[in-house]
Amino acid sequence: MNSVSGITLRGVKAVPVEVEVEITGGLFNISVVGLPDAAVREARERVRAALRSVGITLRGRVAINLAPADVPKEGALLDLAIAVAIACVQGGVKVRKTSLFIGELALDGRLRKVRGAVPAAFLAREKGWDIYLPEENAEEVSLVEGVSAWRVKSLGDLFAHLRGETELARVGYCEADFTPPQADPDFSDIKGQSAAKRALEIAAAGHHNLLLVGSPGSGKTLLARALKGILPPLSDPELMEVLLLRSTVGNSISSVRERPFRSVHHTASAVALCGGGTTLRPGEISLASRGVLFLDEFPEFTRDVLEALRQPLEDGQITVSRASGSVVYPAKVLMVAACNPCPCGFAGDPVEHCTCSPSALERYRRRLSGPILDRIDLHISIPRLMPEELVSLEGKCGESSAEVAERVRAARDIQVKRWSGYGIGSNSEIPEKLLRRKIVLTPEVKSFLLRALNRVRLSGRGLSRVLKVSRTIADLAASEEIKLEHVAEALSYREGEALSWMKI
Amino acid sequence: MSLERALKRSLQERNKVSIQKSSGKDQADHSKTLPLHLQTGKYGEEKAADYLTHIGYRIIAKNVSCRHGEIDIIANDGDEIVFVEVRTRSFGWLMPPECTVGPEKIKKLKKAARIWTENRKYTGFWRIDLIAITLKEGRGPSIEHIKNITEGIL
Repeated sequence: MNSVSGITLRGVKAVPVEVEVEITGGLFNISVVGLPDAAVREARERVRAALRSVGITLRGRVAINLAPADVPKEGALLDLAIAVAIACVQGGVKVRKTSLFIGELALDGRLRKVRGAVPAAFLAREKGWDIYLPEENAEEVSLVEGVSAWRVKSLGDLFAHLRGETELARVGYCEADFTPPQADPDFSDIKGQSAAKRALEIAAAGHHNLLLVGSPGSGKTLLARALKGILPPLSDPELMEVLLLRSTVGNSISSVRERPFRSVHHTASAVALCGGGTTLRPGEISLASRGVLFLDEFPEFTRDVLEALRQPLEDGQITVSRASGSVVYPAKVLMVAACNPCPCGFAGDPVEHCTCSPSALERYRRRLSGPILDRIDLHISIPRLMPEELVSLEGKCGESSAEVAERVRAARDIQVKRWSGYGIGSNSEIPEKLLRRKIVLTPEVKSFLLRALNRVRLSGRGLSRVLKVSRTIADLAASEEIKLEHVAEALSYREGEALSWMKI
Repeated sequence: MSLERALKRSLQERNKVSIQKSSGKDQADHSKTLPLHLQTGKYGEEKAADYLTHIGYRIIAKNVSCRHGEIDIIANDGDEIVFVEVRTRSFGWLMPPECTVGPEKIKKLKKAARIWTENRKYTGFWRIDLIAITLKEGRGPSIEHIKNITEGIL
């Protein structure tokens, strides 16, 4: 194994790329082999200029081989590895310990930020290698424990370090802090809607999917955004998963423990939402993993986009398969969908009159297929507020987000304690076999469920989801067993009035 | 090793040329009757050779012609052989001399240089330089040395 390696990304995994350089006599020429993409091929221009800036002038025929030869290499992060490999041959630099070098070079030898630093750090930790990375990537890598990482400002500094003249700074491990971010908007800023707030609390506690149905201006979007403020902070394993994905797409981290919240416009394509493209990038559903995926104007999404969401919502992961390979991305999202009850928005409204024609209603309802609605655990209608409620501007409206967040956190702790042995973190992830074995119902509750099932038609999955939601409601009440009121509440979210307009 | 051999051969050639030059008396007369633009070129090449020796290059050969054209100066810069194209412009030209070397000319130079190195089985480093000389009225000529002109063309 050559001691100079770079990486290329394959999904959220870093694949080590060995960089070999041969220089022979002749007229100056650089060739790169080993399936480079355009960005890698252009690296030779950047590398040449950067090397000249530190006093290494290239000459002769320079052949750069990127091994393994059959893996396509992408991105600009191989620049540094190529430059170091060349300097080893021509510039009197010696790399003693096998190391990963990642970074994009500027023409004057500075290092630029790259995407994929965290996957590279994971690889380095796994193999026990050193890793050299740009200064700007040091922050995200500092959250990964047990990595021997060095921060590099410029090529000159790195070469001085490798020659033993000066010492670079190490990237120290620092634990992410738990301080909860300011909720914006806060629950106490939202007037009325106590039923919706309760449903949001359940959704946040159990990571259940949510559908908000309401007329225009009733506060669907506001409520969805307020959900962010009551979610518990990311745990360590979750943080690593989120960090990997963020680093893969090059998103910067602002508040570390904050759960992702991705709001997607309804013009998004299936690839944008689920991931793909020639480089197999993760989609919004993966970027929102462990957090919230908010789909406003749900029926306006094209049908194939909505149907593409079915499988990841069920499995909690998505397999992106293209000609260039297939990768598995996590997709453990809390999906919040918002929609109007009809095109004009006033179906079921006590005051306003719905002006939609039957055929328009029919068309609108057909956009939401049964299978996708079946995967949403909580259906809530958001009524318009009465004029008196709207005008009462002063004062707080109910609990603040912090109070709700505290209850949610307690419920999550119970879940984590119960399910940690099974590798799951929330009630929504309970697999079928565990559900049957672990969720024991009293005879009284069972007979109630039976009676309810005779009235409302629930699919097998529907019933499982009702049971999961009941478990969450029981956890919120800190109750060990699932009581009748818990099941009744869970059922009401599924077969309540929110979707009554669907069945007219 | 190969560099030495290549140098030896070119030295022999140069000696041959100089012997021929000194023996033929009418050749000197001939150069006087050269047209003006060729005289300018010759003057520039002399200036360029002086300049190269001044900065420490060793001149191996001058005006080596082959099928693909002529190489004005072949010099030795350390362990590297430099093929030099000299361009001279007298005062009053609108186009700077370095702009007169286009891709076609570079292609020819590369071919010629490759033939020269291959004939001598030279496997070391080599490059192509351009020396642009602008003649000025009343003052000495300005000399500009552009190294490795094929570097940007990958």
